[in-house]
Amino acid sequence: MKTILLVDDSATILLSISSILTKAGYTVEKAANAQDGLAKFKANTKVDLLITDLNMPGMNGIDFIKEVRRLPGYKFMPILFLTTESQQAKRVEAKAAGASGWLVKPATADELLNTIKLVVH
Amino acid sequence: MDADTKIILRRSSALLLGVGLVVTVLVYSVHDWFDYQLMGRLGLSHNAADTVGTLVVILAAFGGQRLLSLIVFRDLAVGAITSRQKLQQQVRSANDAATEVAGELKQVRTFNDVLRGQMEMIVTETEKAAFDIAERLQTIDQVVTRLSGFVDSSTLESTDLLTRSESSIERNRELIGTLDRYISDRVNSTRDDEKRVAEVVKEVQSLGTLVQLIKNISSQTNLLALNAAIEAARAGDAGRGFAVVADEVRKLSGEADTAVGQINEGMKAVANSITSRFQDKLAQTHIEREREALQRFSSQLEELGQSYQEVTRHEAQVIATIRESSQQLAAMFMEALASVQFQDVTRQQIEQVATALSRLDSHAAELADRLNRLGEPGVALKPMSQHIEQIYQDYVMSSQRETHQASLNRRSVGDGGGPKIELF
Repeated sequence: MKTILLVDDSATILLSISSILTKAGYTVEKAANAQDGLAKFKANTKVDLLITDLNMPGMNGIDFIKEVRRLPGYKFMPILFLTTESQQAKRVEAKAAGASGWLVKPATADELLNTIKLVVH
Repeated sequence: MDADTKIILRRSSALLLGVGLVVTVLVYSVHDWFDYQLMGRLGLSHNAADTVGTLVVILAAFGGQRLLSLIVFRDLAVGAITSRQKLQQQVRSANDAATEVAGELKQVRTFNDVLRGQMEMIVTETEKAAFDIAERLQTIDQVVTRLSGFVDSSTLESTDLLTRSESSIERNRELIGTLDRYISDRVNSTRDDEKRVAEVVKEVQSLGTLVQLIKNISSQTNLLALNAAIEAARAGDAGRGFAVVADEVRKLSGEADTAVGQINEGMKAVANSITSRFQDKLAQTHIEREREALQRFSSQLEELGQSYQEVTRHEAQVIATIRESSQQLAAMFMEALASVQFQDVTRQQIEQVATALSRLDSHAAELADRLNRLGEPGVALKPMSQHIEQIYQDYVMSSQRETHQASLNRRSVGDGGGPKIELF
Protein backbone atom coordinates (compact mmCIF):
# COMPACT_ATOMS: atom_id res chain seq x y z
CA MET A 1 0.00 0.00 0.00
CA LYS A 2 1.49 3.34 -1.08
CA THR A 3 1.99 6.14 1.43
CA ILE A 4 1.29 9.74 0.47
CA LEU A 5 2.39 12.78 2.48
CA LEU A 6 -0.08 15.64 2.10
CA VAL A 7 1.14 19.12 3.06
CA ASP A 8 -1.30 22.04 3.12
CA ASP A 9 -2.00 24.87 5.55
CA SER A 10 -5.76 24.40 5.12
CA ALA A 11 -7.26 21.93 7.60
CA THR A 12 -10.21 21.48 5.24
CA ILE A 13 -7.94 20.50 2.36
CA LEU A 14 -6.03 18.08 4.59
CA LEU A 15 -9.28 16.44 5.70
CA SER A 16 -11.04 16.30 2.32
CA ILE A 17 -8.06 15.22 0.21
CA SER A 18 -6.83 12.70 2.78
CA SER A 19 -10.35 11.19 2.90
CA ILE A 20 -10.35 10.77 -0.88
CA LEU A 21 -6.88 9.21 -0.87
CA THR A 22 -7.69 6.89 2.04
CA LYS A 23 -10.85 5.76 0.32
CA ALA A 24 -8.82 5.07 -2.81
CA GLY A 25 -6.62 2.74 -0.78
CA TYR A 26 -3.61 4.91 0.05
CA THR A 27 -2.04 5.45 3.45
CA VAL A 28 -1.97 9.18 4.14
CA GLU A 29 0.38 11.21 6.32
CA LYS A 30 -0.57 14.86 6.91
CA ALA A 31 1.39 18.03 7.65
CA ALA A 32 -0.03 21.54 8.16
CA ASN A 33 3.08 23.35 6.85
CA ALA A 34 6.47 22.82 5.23
CA GLN A 35 8.30 22.57 8.56
CA ASP A 36 6.01 19.76 9.75
CA GLY A 37 6.48 18.08 6.39
CA LEU A 38 10.26 18.24 6.68
CA ALA A 39 10.02 16.83 10.20
CA LYS A 40 8.17 13.81 8.78
CA PHE A 41 10.90 13.24 6.21
CA LYS A 42 13.64 13.67 8.79
CA ALA A 43 11.88 11.09 10.94
CA ASN A 44 12.36 8.69 7.99
CA THR A 45 8.64 8.34 7.42
CA LYS A 46 7.96 6.04 4.48
CA VAL A 47 6.63 8.29 1.72
CA ASP A 48 5.95 7.15 -1.86
CA LEU A 49 4.47 10.46 -3.04
CA LEU A 50 4.50 14.03 -1.74
CA ILE A 51 1.53 16.30 -2.51
CA THR A 52 2.10 19.87 -1.39
CA ASP A 53 0.49 23.28 -1.58
CA LEU A 54 2.48 26.17 -3.08
CA ASN A 55 1.44 29.21 -1.05
CA MET A 56 1.92 28.41 2.61
CA PRO A 57 2.87 30.63 5.53
CA GLY A 58 6.52 30.34 6.48
CA MET A 59 8.28 28.27 3.88
CA ASN A 60 6.58 28.15 0.47
CA GLY A 61 6.11 24.94 -1.48
CA ILE A 62 9.02 25.43 -3.87
CA ASP A 63 11.56 26.05 -1.08
CA PHE A 64 10.05 23.09 0.75
CA ILE A 65 10.61 20.61 -2.08
CA LYS A 66 14.14 21.94 -2.59
CA GLU A 67 14.82 21.00 1.04
CA VAL A 68 13.17 17.61 0.55
CA ARG A 69 15.28 16.84 -2.51
CA ARG A 70 18.40 17.52 -0.47
CA LEU A 71 17.43 14.81 2.04
CA PRO A 72 18.88 11.34 1.46
CA GLY A 73 16.45 8.80 0.06
CA TYR A 74 13.95 11.27 -1.42
CA LYS A 75 15.79 12.34 -4.54
CA PHE A 76 13.53 10.40 -6.93
CA MET A 77 10.29 10.44 -4.95
CA PRO A 78 7.43 11.87 -7.06
CA ILE A 79 6.21 15.30 -5.96
CA LEU A 80 2.94 16.88 -7.02
CA PHE A 81 1.85 20.45 -6.42
CA LEU A 82 -1.84 20.93 -5.59
CA THR A 83 -2.36 24.67 -5.64
CA THR A 84 -4.64 27.50 -6.74
CA GLU A 85 -1.73 29.03 -8.67
CA SER A 86 -1.84 28.48 -12.41
CA GLN A 87 0.97 30.67 -13.77
CA GLN A 88 3.44 29.01 -16.05
CA ALA A 89 6.37 30.84 -14.46
CA LYS A 90 5.66 29.18 -11.13
CA ARG A 91 5.44 25.77 -12.80
CA VAL A 92 8.82 26.26 -14.41
CA GLU A 93 10.23 27.20 -11.02
CA ALA A 94 8.63 24.13 -9.44
CA LYS A 95 9.92 21.83 -12.16
CA ALA A 96 13.43 23.18 -11.68
CA ALA A 97 13.09 22.54 -7.93
CA GLY A 98 12.25 18.88 -8.60
CA ALA A 99 8.46 18.70 -8.89
CA SER A 100 6.92 15.89 -10.95
CA GLY A 101 3.58 17.48 -11.74
CA TRP A 102 1.11 20.27 -11.15
CA LEU A 103 -2.61 20.23 -10.34
CA VAL A 104 -4.70 23.38 -10.08
CA LYS A 105 -7.27 23.55 -7.28
CA PRO A 106 -10.07 22.69 -7.18
CA ALA A 107 -9.24 19.28 -8.69
CA THR A 108 -11.90 16.60 -8.98
CA ALA A 109 -11.39 13.24 -7.28
CA ASP A 110 -10.88 11.58 -10.67
CA GLU A 111 -8.31 14.17 -11.76
CA LEU A 112 -6.43 13.77 -8.51
CA LEU A 113 -6.47 9.97 -8.41
CA ASN A 114 -5.65 9.54 -12.11
CA THR A 115 -2.68 11.89 -11.81
CA ILE A 116 -1.44 10.05 -8.73
CA LYS A 117 -1.67 6.74 -10.59
CA LEU A 118 0.43 8.18 -13.40
CA VAL A 119 3.25 9.29 -11.13
CA VAL A 120 3.19 6.53 -8.51
CA HIS A 121 2.40 3.30 -10.36
CA MET B 1 -8.73 82.29 -17.31
CA ASP B 2 -11.80 81.48 -15.27
CA ALA B 3 -15.33 82.72 -15.94
CA ASP B 4 -15.32 85.28 -13.17
CA THR B 5 -12.13 86.88 -14.49
CA LYS B 6 -13.59 87.06 -17.98
CA ILE B 7 -16.72 88.70 -16.64
CA ILE B 8 -14.67 91.20 -14.67
CA LEU B 9 -12.57 92.02 -17.72
CA ARG B 10 -15.64 92.50 -19.86
CA ARG B 11 -17.25 94.70 -17.23
CA SER B 12 -14.06 96.74 -16.78
CA SER B 13 -13.75 97.24 -20.54
CA ALA B 14 -17.37 98.28 -20.88
CA LEU B 15 -17.16 100.64 -17.93
CA LEU B 16 -13.91 102.17 -19.15
CA LEU B 17 -15.40 102.65 -22.58
CA GLY B 18 -18.54 104.24 -21.19
CA VAL B 19 -16.74 106.52 -18.73
CA GLY B 20 -14.17 107.36 -21.46
CA LEU B 21 -16.95 108.49 -23.77
CA VAL B 22 -18.57 110.56 -21.04
CA VAL B 23 -15.24 112.16 -20.08
CA THR B 24 -14.39 112.80 -23.73
CA VAL B 25 -17.70 114.53 -24.27
CA LEU B 26 -17.30 116.42 -21.00
CA VAL B 27 -13.72 117.56 -21.80
CA TYR B 28 -14.79 118.59 -25.24
CA SER B 29 -17.74 120.54 -23.82
CA VAL B 30 -16.16 122.24 -20.84
CA HIS B 31 -12.52 122.57 -22.01
CA ASP B 32 -12.71 126.28 -22.79
CA TRP B 33 -14.69 127.09 -19.69
CA PHE B 34 -12.17 125.13 -17.63
CA ASP B 35 -9.19 126.89 -19.19
CA TYR B 36 -10.83 130.22 -18.62
CA GLN B 37 -11.49 129.45 -15.00
CA LEU B 38 -7.99 128.19 -14.26
CA MET B 39 -5.93 130.50 -16.41
CA GLY B 40 -8.18 133.58 -16.39
CA ARG B 41 -9.30 133.61 -12.82
CA LEU B 42 -6.63 131.67 -11.02
CA GLY B 43 -3.80 132.83 -13.33
CA LEU B 44 -2.36 129.40 -13.99
CA SER B 45 -0.21 128.81 -17.00
CA HIS B 46 -1.52 126.77 -19.94
CA ASN B 47 0.58 123.73 -18.98
CA ALA B 48 -0.49 123.91 -15.38
CA ALA B 49 -4.14 124.26 -16.39
CA ASP B 50 -3.84 121.17 -18.69
CA THR B 51 -2.11 119.21 -15.93
CA VAL B 52 -4.80 120.08 -13.46
CA GLY B 53 -7.40 119.30 -16.11
CA THR B 54 -5.85 115.92 -16.83
CA LEU B 55 -5.72 115.18 -13.12
CA VAL B 56 -9.37 116.11 -12.77
CA VAL B 57 -10.29 113.96 -15.79
CA ILE B 58 -8.41 111.00 -14.37
CA LEU B 59 -9.98 111.42 -10.95
CA ALA B 60 -13.41 111.95 -12.49
CA ALA B 61 -12.97 108.88 -14.71
CA PHE B 62 -11.79 106.82 -11.73
CA GLY B 63 -14.60 108.13 -9.53
CA GLY B 64 -17.13 107.66 -12.31
CA GLN B 65 -16.02 104.07 -12.84
CA ARG B 66 -16.25 103.30 -9.13
CA LEU B 67 -19.60 105.04 -8.83
CA LEU B 68 -21.06 103.29 -11.85
CA SER B 69 -19.62 99.96 -10.68
CA LEU B 70 -21.20 100.48 -7.30
CA ILE B 71 -24.53 101.40 -8.85
CA VAL B 72 -24.60 98.72 -11.51
CA PHE B 73 -22.66 95.83 -9.93
CA ARG B 74 -22.87 96.77 -6.24
CA ASP B 75 -19.10 96.42 -6.18
CA LEU B 76 -16.44 99.16 -6.41
CA ALA B 77 -14.25 96.92 -8.63
CA VAL B 78 -16.86 95.66 -11.12
CA GLY B 79 -17.31 92.41 -9.11
CA ALA B 80 -13.62 91.75 -8.43
CA ILE B 81 -14.02 92.39 -4.71
CA THR B 82 -17.07 90.11 -4.51
CA SER B 83 -15.26 87.53 -6.61
CA ARG B 84 -12.22 87.70 -4.38
CA GLN B 85 -14.34 87.38 -1.29
CA LYS B 86 -16.08 84.44 -2.92
CA LEU B 87 -12.72 82.91 -3.84
CA GLN B 88 -11.40 83.41 -0.34
CA GLN B 89 -14.54 81.75 0.96
CA GLN B 90 -13.99 78.88 -1.44
CA VAL B 91 -10.39 78.54 -0.38
CA ARG B 92 -11.42 78.48 3.25
CA SER B 93 -14.10 75.91 2.41
CA ALA B 94 -11.57 73.88 0.41
CA ASN B 95 -9.14 74.00 3.29
CA ASP B 96 -11.87 72.96 5.66
CA ALA B 97 -12.89 70.20 3.25
CA ALA B 98 -9.26 69.12 2.82
CA THR B 99 -8.84 68.96 6.56
CA GLU B 100 -12.07 67.05 6.85
CA VAL B 101 -11.20 64.71 3.95
CA ALA B 102 -7.70 64.15 5.38
CA GLY B 103 -9.28 63.25 8.69
CA GLU B 104 -11.71 60.92 6.95
CA LEU B 105 -8.94 59.37 4.86
CA LYS B 106 -7.14 58.59 8.09
CA GLN B 107 -10.28 56.70 9.09
CA VAL B 108 -10.09 54.51 5.95
CA ARG B 109 -7.71 52.19 7.79
CA THR B 110 -10.25 51.82 10.58
CA PHE B 111 -12.99 51.23 8.02
CA ASN B 112 -10.84 48.63 6.27
CA ASP B 113 -9.97 47.06 9.61
CA VAL B 114 -13.70 46.47 10.05
CA LEU B 115 -13.93 44.99 6.53
CA ARG B 116 -10.87 42.82 7.13
CA GLY B 117 -12.36 41.66 10.39
CA GLN B 118 -15.56 40.74 8.57
CA MET B 119 -13.60 38.92 5.87
CA GLU B 120 -11.56 37.05 8.45
CA MET B 121 -14.81 36.06 10.10
CA ILE B 122 -16.13 34.85 6.72
CA VAL B 123 -12.92 32.86 6.14
CA THR B 124 -13.10 31.36 9.63
CA GLU B 125 -16.77 30.49 9.36
CA THR B 126 -16.55 29.08 5.85
CA GLU B 127 -13.48 27.09 6.84
CA LYS B 128 -15.31 25.69 9.84
CA ALA B 129 -18.40 24.98 7.70
CA ALA B 130 -16.30 23.30 5.00
CA PHE B 131 -14.49 21.26 7.63
CA ASP B 132 -17.83 20.21 9.12
CA ILE B 133 -19.08 19.28 5.66
CA ALA B 134 -15.97 17.18 5.07
CA GLU B 135 -16.41 15.49 8.45
CA ARG B 136 -20.06 14.75 7.77
CA LEU B 137 -19.19 13.44 4.36
CA GLN B 138 -16.72 11.13 6.06
CA THR B 139 -19.46 9.93 8.40
CA ILE B 140 -21.76 9.36 5.45
CA ASP B 141 -18.97 7.49 3.72
CA GLN B 142 -18.53 5.23 6.73
CA VAL B 143 -22.24 4.38 6.54
CA VAL B 144 -21.98 3.84 2.79
CA THR B 145 -18.89 1.69 3.28
CA ARG B 146 -20.71 -0.43 5.86
CA LEU B 147 -23.64 -0.68 3.46
CA SER B 148 -21.26 -1.70 0.67
CA GLY B 149 -19.73 -4.35 2.91
CA PHE B 150 -23.16 -5.64 3.81
CA VAL B 151 -24.17 -5.63 0.16
CA ASP B 152 -20.98 -7.48 -0.81
CA SER B 153 -21.54 -10.18 1.82
CA SER B 154 -25.24 -10.31 0.87
CA THR B 155 -24.24 -10.70 -2.76
CA LEU B 156 -22.03 -13.65 -1.88
CA GLU B 157 -24.77 -15.16 0.29
CA SER B 158 -27.36 -14.53 -2.40
CA THR B 159 -25.17 -16.15 -5.05
CA ASP B 160 -24.51 -19.08 -2.76
CA LEU B 161 -28.21 -19.34 -1.96
CA LEU B 162 -29.09 -19.23 -5.65
CA THR B 163 -26.55 -21.94 -6.41
CA ARG B 164 -27.77 -24.08 -3.54
CA SER B 165 -31.41 -23.55 -4.47
CA GLU B 166 -30.69 -24.48 -8.08
CA SER B 167 -28.89 -27.66 -7.02
CA SER B 168 -31.70 -28.40 -4.51
CA ILE B 169 -34.27 -27.93 -7.25
CA GLU B 170 -32.23 -30.20 -9.50
CA ARG B 171 -32.10 -32.82 -6.76
CA ASN B 172 -35.87 -32.47 -6.30
CA ARG B 173 -36.31 -32.99 -10.03
CA GLU B 174 -34.16 -36.09 -9.87
CA LEU B 175 -36.16 -37.36 -6.86
CA ILE B 176 -39.41 -36.73 -8.67
CA GLY B 177 -38.01 -38.59 -11.69
CA THR B 178 -37.05 -41.47 -9.41
CA LEU B 179 -40.51 -41.49 -7.85
CA ASP B 180 -42.11 -41.35 -11.27
CA ARG B 181 -40.02 -44.25 -12.45
CA TYR B 182 -40.89 -46.09 -9.25
CA ILE B 183 -44.61 -45.53 -9.87
CA SER B 184 -44.25 -46.65 -13.48
CA ASP B 185 -42.36 -49.73 -12.32
CA ARG B 186 -45.09 -50.34 -9.79
CA VAL B 187 -47.77 -50.04 -12.46
CA ASN B 188 -45.87 -52.39 -14.75
CA SER B 189 -45.19 -54.76 -11.90
CA THR B 190 -48.85 -54.75 -10.90
CA ARG B 191 -49.87 -55.39 -14.46
CA ASP B 192 -47.47 -58.32 -14.59
CA ASP B 193 -48.83 -59.57 -11.27
CA GLU B 194 -52.33 -59.22 -12.67
CA LYS B 195 -51.40 -61.40 -15.59
CA ARG B 196 -49.68 -63.92 -13.37
CA VAL B 197 -52.63 -64.01 -10.96
CA ALA B 198 -55.01 -64.43 -13.86
CA GLU B 199 -52.88 -67.31 -15.12
CA VAL B 200 -52.80 -68.91 -11.64
CA VAL B 201 -56.56 -68.57 -11.34
CA LYS B 202 -56.89 -69.99 -14.79
CA GLU B 203 -54.58 -72.84 -13.82
CA VAL B 204 -56.58 -73.43 -10.65
CA GLN B 205 -59.83 -73.34 -12.61
CA SER B 206 -58.33 -75.74 -15.14
CA LEU B 207 -57.75 -78.19 -12.25
CA GLY B 208 -61.59 -78.39 -11.96
CA THR B 209 -61.64 -80.55 -15.11
CA LEU B 210 -59.14 -82.90 -13.50
CA VAL B 211 -61.27 -83.01 -10.36
CA GLN B 212 -64.32 -83.79 -12.45
CA LEU B 213 -62.33 -86.59 -14.14
CA ILE B 214 -61.41 -88.02 -10.72
CA LYS B 215 -65.01 -87.60 -9.66
CA ASN B 216 -66.14 -89.55 -12.76
CA ILE B 217 -63.52 -92.23 -12.05
CA SER B 218 -64.75 -92.39 -8.47
CA SER B 219 -68.34 -92.73 -9.69
CA GLN B 220 -67.28 -95.45 -12.17
CA THR B 221 -65.31 -97.15 -9.39
CA ASN B 222 -68.36 -97.00 -7.12
CA LEU B 223 -70.49 -98.48 -9.90
CA LEU B 224 -67.86 -101.12 -10.56
CA ALA B 225 -67.70 -101.94 -6.84
CA LEU B 226 -71.48 -102.24 -6.76
CA ASN B 227 -71.44 -104.61 -9.74
CA ALA B 228 -68.63 -106.53 -8.06
CA ALA B 229 -70.71 -106.87 -4.91
CA ILE B 230 -73.65 -108.16 -6.97
CA GLU B 231 -71.43 -110.65 -8.74
CA ALA B 232 -69.92 -111.66 -5.40
CA ALA B 233 -73.40 -112.30 -4.00
CA ARG B 234 -74.16 -114.58 -6.95
CA ALA B 235 -71.04 -116.47 -6.32
CA GLY B 236 -72.20 -117.35 -2.84
CA ASP B 237 -69.61 -118.20 -0.26
CA ALA B 238 -66.88 -118.17 -2.84
CA GLY B 239 -67.52 -114.62 -3.59
CA ARG B 240 -67.90 -113.54 0.06
CA GLY B 241 -64.28 -112.30 0.27
CA PHE B 242 -64.62 -110.61 -3.00
CA ALA B 243 -67.79 -108.93 -1.73
CA VAL B 244 -65.81 -107.53 1.19
CA VAL B 245 -63.22 -106.13 -1.24
CA ALA B 246 -66.00 -104.72 -3.43
CA ASP B 247 -67.56 -103.08 -0.44
CA GLU B 248 -64.24 -101.57 0.60
CA VAL B 249 -63.68 -100.37 -2.94
CA ARG B 250 -67.13 -98.74 -2.92
CA LYS B 251 -66.35 -97.12 0.42
CA LEU B 252 -63.02 -95.84 -1.01
CA SER B 253 -64.90 -94.59 -4.04
CA GLY B 254 -67.28 -92.69 -1.78
CA GLU B 255 -64.42 -91.24 0.23
CA ALA B 256 -62.65 -90.33 -3.01
CA ASP B 257 -65.78 -88.59 -4.22
CA THR B 258 -66.02 -86.71 -0.95
CA ALA B 259 -62.32 -85.81 -1.18
CA VAL B 260 -62.72 -84.67 -4.76
CA GLY B 261 -65.64 -82.47 -3.71
CA GLN B 262 -63.54 -80.99 -0.91
CA ILE B 263 -60.64 -80.46 -3.35
CA ASN B 264 -62.97 -78.73 -5.75
CA GLU B 265 -64.31 -76.48 -3.00
CA GLY B 266 -60.75 -75.81 -1.81
CA MET B 267 -59.58 -74.87 -5.30
CA LYS B 268 -62.55 -72.54 -5.74
CA ALA B 269 -61.76 -70.95 -2.38
CA VAL B 270 -58.06 -70.56 -3.36
CA ALA B 271 -59.01 -68.99 -6.72
CA ASN B 272 -61.48 -66.66 -5.02
CA SER B 273 -58.91 -65.80 -2.37
CA ILE B 274 -56.17 -65.05 -4.95
CA THR B 275 -58.61 -62.99 -6.99
CA SER B 276 -59.85 -61.00 -4.02
CA ARG B 277 -56.37 -60.53 -2.48
CA PHE B 278 -55.03 -59.05 -5.71
CA GLN B 279 -58.17 -57.09 -6.35
CA ASP B 280 -56.78 -53.90 -4.76
CA LYS B 281 -53.48 -54.38 -6.41
CA LEU B 282 -55.18 -55.04 -9.67
CA ALA B 283 -57.25 -51.88 -9.35
CA GLN B 284 -55.53 -49.56 -11.78
CA THR B 285 -57.39 -46.51 -10.43
CA HIS B 286 -55.48 -46.72 -7.13
CA ILE B 287 -52.13 -46.64 -8.89
CA GLU B 288 -53.31 -43.81 -11.11
CA ARG B 289 -54.36 -41.82 -8.06
CA GLU B 290 -50.89 -42.32 -6.62
CA ARG B 291 -49.44 -41.23 -9.89
CA GLU B 292 -51.68 -38.19 -10.10
CA ALA B 293 -50.83 -37.26 -6.52
CA LEU B 294 -47.15 -37.62 -7.30
CA GLN B 295 -47.53 -35.49 -10.43
CA ARG B 296 -49.37 -32.81 -8.43
CA PHE B 297 -46.63 -32.95 -5.81
CA SER B 298 -44.06 -32.76 -8.56
CA SER B 299 -45.78 -29.75 -10.16
CA GLN B 300 -46.08 -27.99 -6.82
CA LEU B 301 -42.44 -28.71 -6.05
CA GLU B 302 -41.47 -27.36 -9.47
CA GLU B 303 -43.55 -24.24 -8.94
CA LEU B 304 -42.10 -23.84 -5.48
CA GLY B 305 -38.62 -24.17 -6.91
CA GLN B 306 -39.34 -21.64 -9.64
CA SER B 307 -40.88 -19.22 -7.14
CA TYR B 308 -37.87 -19.67 -4.92
CA GLN B 309 -35.55 -19.08 -7.85
CA GLU B 310 -37.56 -15.99 -8.80
CA VAL B 311 -37.36 -14.66 -5.25
CA THR B 312 -33.64 -15.36 -5.14
CA ARG B 313 -33.08 -13.69 -8.52
CA HIS B 314 -35.18 -10.71 -7.41
CA GLU B 315 -33.14 -10.49 -4.25
CA ALA B 316 -29.98 -10.64 -6.35
CA GLN B 317 -31.33 -7.82 -8.55
CA VAL B 318 -32.20 -5.74 -5.47
CA ILE B 319 -28.74 -6.32 -4.04
CA ALA B 320 -27.17 -5.49 -7.41
CA THR B 321 -29.16 -2.24 -7.56
CA ILE B 322 -28.19 -1.36 -4.01
CA ARG B 323 -24.59 -2.21 -4.81
CA GLU B 324 -24.62 -0.02 -7.91
CA SER B 325 -26.26 2.80 -5.93
CA SER B 326 -23.74 2.47 -3.14
CA GLN B 327 -20.93 2.63 -5.71
CA GLN B 328 -22.51 5.75 -7.19
CA LEU B 329 -22.84 7.16 -3.69
CA ALA B 330 -19.17 6.43 -3.06
CA ALA B 331 -18.23 8.26 -6.27
CA MET B 332 -20.50 11.17 -5.37
CA PHE B 333 -18.98 11.25 -1.92
CA MET B 334 -15.50 11.51 -3.44
CA GLU B 335 -16.56 14.34 -5.72
CA ALA B 336 -18.35 16.11 -2.87
CA LEU B 337 -15.19 15.88 -0.78
CA ALA B 338 -13.16 17.22 -3.67
CA SER B 339 -15.54 20.15 -4.10
CA VAL B 340 -14.80 21.23 -0.53
CA GLN B 341 -11.58 22.66 -2.00
CA PHE B 342 -13.70 25.66 -3.00
CA GLN B 343 -13.21 26.96 0.54
CA ASP B 344 -9.42 27.07 0.15
CA VAL B 345 -9.80 28.84 -3.19
CA THR B 346 -12.25 31.34 -1.67
CA ARG B 347 -10.02 31.85 1.37
CA GLN B 348 -7.08 32.81 -0.82
CA GLN B 349 -9.26 35.14 -2.90
CA ILE B 350 -10.50 36.87 0.26
CA GLU B 351 -6.93 37.13 1.55
CA GLN B 352 -6.01 38.85 -1.72
CA VAL B 353 -8.86 41.32 -1.22
CA ALA B 354 -7.64 41.94 2.35
CA THR B 355 -4.14 42.62 1.00
CA ALA B 356 -5.61 45.03 -1.55
CA LEU B 357 -7.46 46.80 1.26
CA SER B 358 -4.15 47.21 3.11
CA ARG B 359 -2.76 48.76 -0.03
CA LEU B 360 -5.79 51.09 -0.03
CA ASP B 361 -4.98 51.96 3.60
CA SER B 362 -1.51 53.13 2.61
CA HIS B 363 -2.84 55.07 -0.34
CA ALA B 364 -5.49 56.78 1.80
CA ALA B 365 -2.80 57.70 4.34
CA GLU B 366 -0.69 59.20 1.54
CA LEU B 367 -3.69 61.17 0.28
CA ALA B 368 -4.39 62.46 3.80
CA ASP B 369 -0.77 63.53 4.12
CA ARG B 370 -0.94 65.22 0.75
CA LEU B 371 -4.03 67.18 1.81
CA ASN B 372 -2.46 68.16 5.09
CA ARG B 373 0.53 69.56 3.19
CA LEU B 374 -1.33 71.49 0.48
CA GLY B 375 1.02 74.45 0.49
CA GLU B 376 4.15 72.33 0.26
CA PRO B 377 5.53 71.68 -3.21
CA GLY B 378 6.97 68.37 -4.34
CA VAL B 379 5.04 66.03 -2.07
CA ALA B 380 5.36 62.55 -3.67
CA LEU B 381 2.18 60.55 -4.21
CA LYS B 382 2.03 57.06 -5.70
CA PRO B 383 -0.87 57.06 -8.19
CA MET B 384 -3.76 54.66 -7.80
CA SER B 385 -3.02 53.11 -11.21
CA GLN B 386 0.25 51.76 -9.84
CA HIS B 387 -1.56 50.23 -6.88
CA ILE B 388 -4.07 48.59 -9.26
CA GLU B 389 -1.20 47.17 -11.31
CA GLN B 390 0.49 45.89 -8.17
CA ILE B 391 -2.76 44.12 -7.14
CA TYR B 392 -2.77 42.43 -10.55
CA GLN B 393 0.78 41.23 -9.99
CA ASP B 394 -0.15 39.76 -6.61
CA TYR B 395 -2.94 37.51 -7.92
CA VAL B 396 -2.44 33.73 -7.76
CA MET B 397 -5.38 32.55 -9.85
CA SER B 398 -6.39 32.98 -13.47
CA SER B 399 -9.94 33.78 -12.39
CA GLN B 400 -8.67 36.69 -10.30
CA ARG B 401 -6.75 38.11 -13.22
CA GLU B 402 -9.67 37.70 -15.58
CA THR B 403 -12.05 39.38 -13.13
CA HIS B 404 -9.54 42.21 -12.68
CA GLN B 405 -9.35 42.84 -16.42
CA ALA B 406 -13.11 42.60 -16.85
CA SER B 407 -13.65 45.08 -14.00
CA LEU B 408 -11.42 47.58 -15.79
CA ASN B 409 -13.17 46.91 -19.11
CA ARG B 410 -9.92 45.56 -20.49
CA ARG B 411 -9.67 42.65 -22.84
CA SER B 412 -8.11 39.62 -21.19
CA VAL B 413 -4.74 38.95 -22.77
CA GLY B 414 -4.03 35.74 -20.89
CA ASP B 415 -2.03 35.43 -17.74
CA GLY B 416 0.50 32.84 -18.81
CA GLY B 417 -1.40 30.10 -17.00
CA GLY B 418 -0.88 26.48 -18.02
CA PRO B 419 -3.27 23.51 -18.13
CA LYS B 420 -5.12 22.38 -15.04
CA ILE B 421 -3.05 19.20 -14.87
CA GLU B 422 0.53 19.05 -16.04
CA LEU B 423 3.15 16.35 -15.57
CA PHE B 424 6.76 17.41 -15.92
